Amino acid sequence: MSTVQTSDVLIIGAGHNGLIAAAYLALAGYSVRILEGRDRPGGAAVTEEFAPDYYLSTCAHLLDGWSRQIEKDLKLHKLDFEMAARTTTTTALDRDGRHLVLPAHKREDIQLIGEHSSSDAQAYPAFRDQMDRFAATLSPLLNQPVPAFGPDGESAASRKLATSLAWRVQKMSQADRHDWLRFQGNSIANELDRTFESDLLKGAIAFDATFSHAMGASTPGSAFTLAYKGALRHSSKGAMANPAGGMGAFTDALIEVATQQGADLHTNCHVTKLLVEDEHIAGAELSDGTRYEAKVVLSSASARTTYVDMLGPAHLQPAMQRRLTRIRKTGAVAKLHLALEGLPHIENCTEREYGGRMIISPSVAHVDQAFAACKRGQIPDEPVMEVFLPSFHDYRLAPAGHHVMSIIVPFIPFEVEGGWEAQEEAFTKRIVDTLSTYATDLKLKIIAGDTLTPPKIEKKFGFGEGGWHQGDITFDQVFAFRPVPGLAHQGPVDGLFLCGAAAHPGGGMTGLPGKLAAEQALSFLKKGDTDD
Amino acid sequence: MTEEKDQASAPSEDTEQKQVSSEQAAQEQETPLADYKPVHDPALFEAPRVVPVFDQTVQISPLHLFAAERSQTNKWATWNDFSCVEFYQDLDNDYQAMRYRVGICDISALSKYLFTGPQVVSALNRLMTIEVTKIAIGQSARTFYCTDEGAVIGEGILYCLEENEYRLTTEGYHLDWFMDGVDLFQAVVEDTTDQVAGILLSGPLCGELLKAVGVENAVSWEKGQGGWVKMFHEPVYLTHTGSLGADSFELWMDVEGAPLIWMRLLKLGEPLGLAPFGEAARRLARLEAGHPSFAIDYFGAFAPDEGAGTVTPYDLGLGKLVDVEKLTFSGKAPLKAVLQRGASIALIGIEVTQVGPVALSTLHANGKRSGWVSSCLWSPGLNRYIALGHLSMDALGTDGIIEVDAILGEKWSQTSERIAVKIAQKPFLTS
Repeated sequence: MSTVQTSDVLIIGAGHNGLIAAAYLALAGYSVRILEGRDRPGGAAVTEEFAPDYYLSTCAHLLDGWSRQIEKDLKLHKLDFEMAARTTTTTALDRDGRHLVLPAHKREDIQLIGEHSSSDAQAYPAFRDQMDRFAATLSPLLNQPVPAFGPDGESAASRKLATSLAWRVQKMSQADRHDWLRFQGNSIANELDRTFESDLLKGAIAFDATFSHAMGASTPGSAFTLAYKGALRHSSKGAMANPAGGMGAFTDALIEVATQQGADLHTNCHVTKLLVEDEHIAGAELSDGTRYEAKVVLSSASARTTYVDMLGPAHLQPAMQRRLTRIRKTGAVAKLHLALEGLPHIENCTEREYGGRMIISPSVAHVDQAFAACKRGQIPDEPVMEVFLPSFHDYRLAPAGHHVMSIIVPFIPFEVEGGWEAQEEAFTKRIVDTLSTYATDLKLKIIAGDTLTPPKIEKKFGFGEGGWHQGDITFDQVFAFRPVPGLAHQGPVDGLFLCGAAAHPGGGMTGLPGKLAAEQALSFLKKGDTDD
Repeated sequence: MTEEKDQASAPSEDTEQKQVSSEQAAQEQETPLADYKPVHDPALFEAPRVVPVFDQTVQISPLHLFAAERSQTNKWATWNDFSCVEFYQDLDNDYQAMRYRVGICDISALSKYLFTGPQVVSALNRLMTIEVTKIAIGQSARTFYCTDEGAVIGEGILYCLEENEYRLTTEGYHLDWFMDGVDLFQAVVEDTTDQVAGILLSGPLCGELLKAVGVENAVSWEKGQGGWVKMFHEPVYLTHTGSLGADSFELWMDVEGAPLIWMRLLKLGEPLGLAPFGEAARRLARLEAGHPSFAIDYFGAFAPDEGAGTVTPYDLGLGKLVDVEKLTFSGKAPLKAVLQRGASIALIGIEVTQVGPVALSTLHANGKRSGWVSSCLWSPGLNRYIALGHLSMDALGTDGIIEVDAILGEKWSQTSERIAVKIAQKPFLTS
């Protein structure tokens, strides 16, 4: 009934993190096999044709926080992979055309803030620099594996981590230290209220802090999430890049690196069970009964799927199972894809703004109200959103003169009042209406569109309940608490590792979880080799 | 009346149901687990009975009134939150019956959890420290269950009643922990404490009594073996045990039939010198057998002082109840580590030859504080005080003098004196 295939390493899920781990391990000379459940690899980083001749990254649409180190290690520049744009800016759109460009470094950008409030223009550079310093403090911890709390309480390694964090905080200036101690437990709304007065500026920063997380601007801890996201971006020198050919081209390049080194990629392989022998991982079994044997298995599925569903509760401590089933990942988002007959007109927008990321979040209250509606299972009356025109720098995505627009709408409930089938059209209309108040001729230029509601995203990409990060990034779910206390990259049985967003340092397009998992798997394999 | 009506209207429906059920059975055989839905006891989800704090009373066993009737002292003790007779006539009389003739004791106060479902073995194996598959149907075994840090939550006797049906009798309330533990398995746990009554027969003549009841072969059962028998037309789950040092049998039955069995046994046992014995004699027998008691000699990990003062099975000298070679169970890695490096504390038996009780006193080895005494009682069989102490392993290794701070004197003038004690073999008394 079943066939058995053997390799050194088995990787479950061909998302960007899984592929990065595969590439590192294949480069180290191990035989690698990648199993992808869907019919195509790429995970959340794919380019698809959503309407005839219109292509778009259908899930994540920007390489936010992409690690340049990984790009160098894997020698992606040797392939025909390139970025259509390296650093994209964020523009907070204003109805009256007085947009803000963030992060504002240039004098004219700060002047834009001054148009809204002169005191904000004065306060902004200090705030920006302090956020950078906070990011610099956290950033080194994101580039190294974190230890798990040992069964006997704190291990030596976790004490080292705590000491390292305490030392970094101690090394800050006194003023920074005081601010950081207040900042890490505070809500971003409180932090912004004490610093700025312009609604648009506050709304834009609050949007970034809470984006794709189940938290409002007034939720305590949202300030820490902003600092953590800043740190993720900091390790990549702050870039938000747009790969030529969309995100699919990026994962295609990763696949090329891995397969050049001999890695096998299998699609339509739905792993249902992990095989264990004597508390060592032995491989994986597919839904059709095919067995793949390996010394090491890396899973980019969520911690709960990997450990509870695939490994099975019989291999978990009851307390561990309890923690795994209680991971919060409720930050659902929806996506809207539009094919446009020409560039929509947004007042006062130049090339830089069109090519970058645009956000609609007029005030902190908008963020909070959207979150409040989401909690009640409703679509927000005035949704906040992130808009991106990938075709602006990448002509291959749409026919000449035409454009594609990718919109991510956070704070959208997974289960909506009245059901998504009934609400989908109203939802699409509301998004387009909201966007039309900024891009006045948008409706005239739409020729095709596609809505991805949270249930559709779950079905298509396999994110549980539409949460992208396999566990929200909050103070209680990062560092040694990610995925859960007692587990880090290494799973509950020897040779099983988490290499996806569920593992440290968490979700996003950084690629770091895959890299760190690969490093740990390598040292595990080397230890096994010397033992033999 | 209603039963008759039901029977009259039943046949036509019955045949239909049979057809349906045979189809279902065929389907179930093909996919034994696919259609399985755990049956939850609706009572679990009912709102708890609201008892104002000042109205709270200890719980009473289904045999309470019948035990009270036999009590000549009106002395009550609390065991596992149940009110139990402390002694029926006096401690000596209760003890004599239990030790040398045959004694009968109401043990309904124990918590009784029923585990059922197709995956109950794997679910239990993950919770208990022993290998559950080694318990055959009709057998029972003593087991611990620990937190993931290896601290004992409780201990109990696990009975395999049928295939995929286990009963755990224990002290303390652990339903929440068990429910969390069987979650995700096709298994259900129910608290059947108030549905099942327990009677303990103990003493050399209990075989005779059982013969008089009509259960002939039970005496030849191994320790731990059990099975269903009929007693006075009531089904009773009978188990041969030796938890009190003497030959003893546990009887588990439906609460409604329990008073009848209790009364009939008392009547039938009269020629054998049967007498009921209370909580005091039961505790004494347990101590004489050298068993540490829950909430007396050690506390569960969920006692209010969580983390402080918790013990591992190795600290209680019961490492043999931990199977570190089996698949993952709660507390496996820390317990394995304790096994490898050895426990830091040993449970010792202490004999005090001269003076009064020494419970809760400090143990000194070579003049150095190195442990404490948790329970101490007068043993009529040995004619001296016996106690259980927790002594650090370092002190146990040396041949030094073990001393204890004893409280001497009458009620109004007490002095503390340090006296030498003897480490005794456990069990203190073997029958």
